Amino acid sequence: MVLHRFIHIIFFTLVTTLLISMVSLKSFAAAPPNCAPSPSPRPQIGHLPVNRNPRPPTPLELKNQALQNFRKLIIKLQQDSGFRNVDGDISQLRNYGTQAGVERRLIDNAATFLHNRGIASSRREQATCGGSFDYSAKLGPVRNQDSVGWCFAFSAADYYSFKTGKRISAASIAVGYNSYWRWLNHLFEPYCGEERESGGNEDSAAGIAKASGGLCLESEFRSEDNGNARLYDTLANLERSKLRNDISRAVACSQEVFPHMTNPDILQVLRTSNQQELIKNFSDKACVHRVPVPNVNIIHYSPYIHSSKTYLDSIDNELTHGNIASMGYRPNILYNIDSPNVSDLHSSLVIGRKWDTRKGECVYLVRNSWGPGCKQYDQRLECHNGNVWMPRSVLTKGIYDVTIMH
Amino acid sequence: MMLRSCINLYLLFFVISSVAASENSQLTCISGKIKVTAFGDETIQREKFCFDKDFAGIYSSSCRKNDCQAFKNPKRYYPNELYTKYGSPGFKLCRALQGTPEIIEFYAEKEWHGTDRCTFSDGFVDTDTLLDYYLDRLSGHP
Repeated sequence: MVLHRFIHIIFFTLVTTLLISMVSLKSFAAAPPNCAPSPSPRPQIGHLPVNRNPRPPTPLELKNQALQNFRKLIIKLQQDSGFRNVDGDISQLRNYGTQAGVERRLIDNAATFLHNRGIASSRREQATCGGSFDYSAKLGPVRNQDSVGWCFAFSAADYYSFKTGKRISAASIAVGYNSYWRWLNHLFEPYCGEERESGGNEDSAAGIAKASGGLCLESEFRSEDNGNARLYDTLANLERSKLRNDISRAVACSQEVFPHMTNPDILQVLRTSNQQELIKNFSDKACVHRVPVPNVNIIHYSPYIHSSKTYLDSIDNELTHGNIASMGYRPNILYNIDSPNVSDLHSSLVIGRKWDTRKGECVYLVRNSWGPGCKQYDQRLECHNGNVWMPRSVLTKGIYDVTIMH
Repeated sequence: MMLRSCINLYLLFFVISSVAASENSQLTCISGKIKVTAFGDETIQREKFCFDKDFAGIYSSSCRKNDCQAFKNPKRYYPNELYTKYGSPGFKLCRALQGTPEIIEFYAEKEWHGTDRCTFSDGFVDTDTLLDYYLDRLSGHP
């Protein structure tokens, strides 16, 4: 009897264990492979606010500060008076000069010079800044490049969107660009490498896209809205999975970025592509309804040959003829128009121009790719839904190169 | 005379209250729809949120008075740490603050409005507002 019961217990335990194992195995097998998001690296930046001025300044410090401000302002006005009437700032210059103990005669001379120069420049600029152009309506809402350094591709995609009237995929242009330059792969790996924020040149990107034989629609390869801004991470995971031969994960990653592709197509691309061509091949396969590339000449005004005046003249020429332009520039002028040129390069489109009667200066409409917010820009700049009106004097300081599709 | 003083006092109180609440009075708060598109899949969530007059700033109801996690980091950020060629500064800031950035649309006044948000454990706010709050513009640092 005891033995019988013992056998029963053993049998019951075995069956239970078996059932539990089966359920576990089944749930394991049924768990969908996912393109597990690796936690995005958190930038190690920022500082605690410091008490910059714990005691009231001494008269000497005040005087030195005023002298410093006087010098800074006179340099700024020397530049600005080449574009606009600076009378509004001259009273501030006088204040600083007086506080700093600068000789009255010198202040008057500087004020007169700046006034005359500003008036003459303002007249000249107004004469050349004829007409008012704003092509923002043709381009739709400002895009958001989120966390990827593909500003150049967004510029090129927006430019092609302007030319074709279709919303062109910036991601596809970036992938084409990266693929083209991948002979340098061992130097910067666009997806798997540490250089997760790879940038590029808009003129080269536009040229490569032109040579590709057709432009990809945004609806077929989305550049934005990629789940907590994980487009780049997902592409990197896709490439890594292929490298490790983890096909189920590679399929999961592909399904995320290319939701319209069928599983046989995904598997075919995974099977036939090497690591170097993988993302490009996915992009090519996903972009079914390609838009014919407009017949354009891509002209690049390079910083080694041309001056900022040439850049702005070429932009003026395009705007007056119903076209827009793409420019490389220092993005620090976006948050502080008085900022020195110290930052990396960025790329945006110039899509409009008008005479700003309040500023007394020609202003250009810059379409950025940082979303529709305006608080991220210098609050002195007029901004509507992420399109920023930038004074010519500021643009002259920050502009680096210009690309035109003529 | 007494009545007039009372009315004056009431008016004064009203004016002071209005000024004190001016920050919030510019926001419109609703229980509405937020659309999140992740890899082609649209998800519409019904949430309580507030938005500004430009339809670019958006706050969860817990963040509308700047008292959620989004505004509790003691750090400030120099512009040149955020305004680089690599990605939008708002998303970079969001990640630095341990938030999760996301491109969204919200439905208000019979239209969908595109913006983004940075989500924390107790609420969310758009990255443009975060930049405005955390950017150390006065330091003289580039």
